[in-house]
Amino acid sequence: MQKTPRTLVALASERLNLPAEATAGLVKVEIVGGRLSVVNHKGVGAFGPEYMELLTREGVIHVRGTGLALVVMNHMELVITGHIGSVELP
Amino acid sequence: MKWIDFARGTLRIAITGAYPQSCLNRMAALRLQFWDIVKRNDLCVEVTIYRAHLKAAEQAAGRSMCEVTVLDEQGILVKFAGLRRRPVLLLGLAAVLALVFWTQQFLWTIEVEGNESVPSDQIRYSLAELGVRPGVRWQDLDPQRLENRMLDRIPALSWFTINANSARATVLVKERIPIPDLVETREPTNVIATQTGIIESMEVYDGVPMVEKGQTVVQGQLLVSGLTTPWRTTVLHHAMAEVYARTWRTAEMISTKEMTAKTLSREVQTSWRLVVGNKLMKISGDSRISEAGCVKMITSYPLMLPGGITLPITLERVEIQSYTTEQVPRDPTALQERLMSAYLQAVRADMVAGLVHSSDGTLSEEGACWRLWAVCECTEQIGALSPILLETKEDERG
Repeated sequence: MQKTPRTLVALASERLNLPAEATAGLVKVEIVGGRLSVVNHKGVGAFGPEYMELLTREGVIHVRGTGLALVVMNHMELVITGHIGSVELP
Repeated sequence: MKWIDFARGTLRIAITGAYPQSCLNRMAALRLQFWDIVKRNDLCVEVTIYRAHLKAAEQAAGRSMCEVTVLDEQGILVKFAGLRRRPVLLLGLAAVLALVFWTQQFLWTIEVEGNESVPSDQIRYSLAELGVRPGVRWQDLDPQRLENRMLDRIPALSWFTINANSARATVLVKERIPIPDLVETREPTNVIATQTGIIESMEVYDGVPMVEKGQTVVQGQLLVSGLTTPWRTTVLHHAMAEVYARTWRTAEMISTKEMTAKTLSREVQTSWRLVVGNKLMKISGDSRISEAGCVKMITSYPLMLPGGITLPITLERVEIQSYTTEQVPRDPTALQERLMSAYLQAVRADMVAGLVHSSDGTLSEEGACWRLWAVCECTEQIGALSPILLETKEDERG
């Protein structure tokens, strides 16, 4: 399979121990307690207090829980707080 | 709300449409800042944005088939929107600000620190003579030149500097330490009594004591001799001693029976004036005395800032009252009190060291006068140096 330039960049980042989300634009999902942070997102799909769809380059991340709220959203990062029950990665 | 948000101004908007999330995605892609995201229902999302981003948000909403409605406005422009309808107030505010900035380049208060015996007013007066007074430009002050001239004008000062910052100048001074009186110990002296009294204590530093504790001495009597004759020789000393004695001082004072008293009229002529720096501005009335036999009373109300800073702006009320004079008899009780008080003050000033134990006075009438005979019992230092006069015989020198 011919490696795409993006894949090559990601591979190089991994080999050089560089943060992949900063160099290759890969998605970074971070959960700390009741706070979910997604870097390099493409926007939100459905969002509500119990279910949210987060669009990324790799696909859709499904977040389920209770009391979910979208607290921060900018071109780089998206932060959701609340009681996070499950996170389905693409 | 943060101060930066208040300064920039924020809007609370509602994005309404079939798919409001797409508007949020567009706004994020356009790098528009928004926060406090609240989903009201499936068709409406509320967010807060900066006022400057409203147009871009409306365009993003338009492309997402959504509508933007402004729900609330916050910020400095909203807070002071009422001022737009008051141009004179705005002009006045601007004029006041300009006046404040303009007046900052002039000196308004001069404070003096570090002086103890030299009055602050004397220092200010000398500075005024050198051109440093309220109303001058503080940037024009030359501290080095002022220091040289002020030390020359007021010899009691040993160091002087002036720190001028904006409207306030602080003058720092240090006074000279006076040279202590030198005691000439080579001059032969005796110690004699300055008052008549009974010796209570003697402390002889040099010389031969001629009296002792409990002895009565008269004024001028020799207390400590500076002449000694050890081993058939004559030695002259600079006799020094502290001799405390119980003394009784008396005095006689005479005062007239009548005095001239002023009776003020009921009519008071009031005028007002404003003093800014050294300039006097009449506000109302006439503060001049037009005839003899008038009393002028001035009450000052200086303008002060919180913190005790006094500005050189004073409102003065001038009251002029005419009076008539007449001879009225003196009150004997008040007269006696006043005379005794003056007498005790004079006694204390005359003493080298000591205190007054008790005092008494008797007031008697003598013709057109009151006569007060006063006596006070004191313990005071009565020893005083008296030089020993030496005579040389010419025929011995021959």
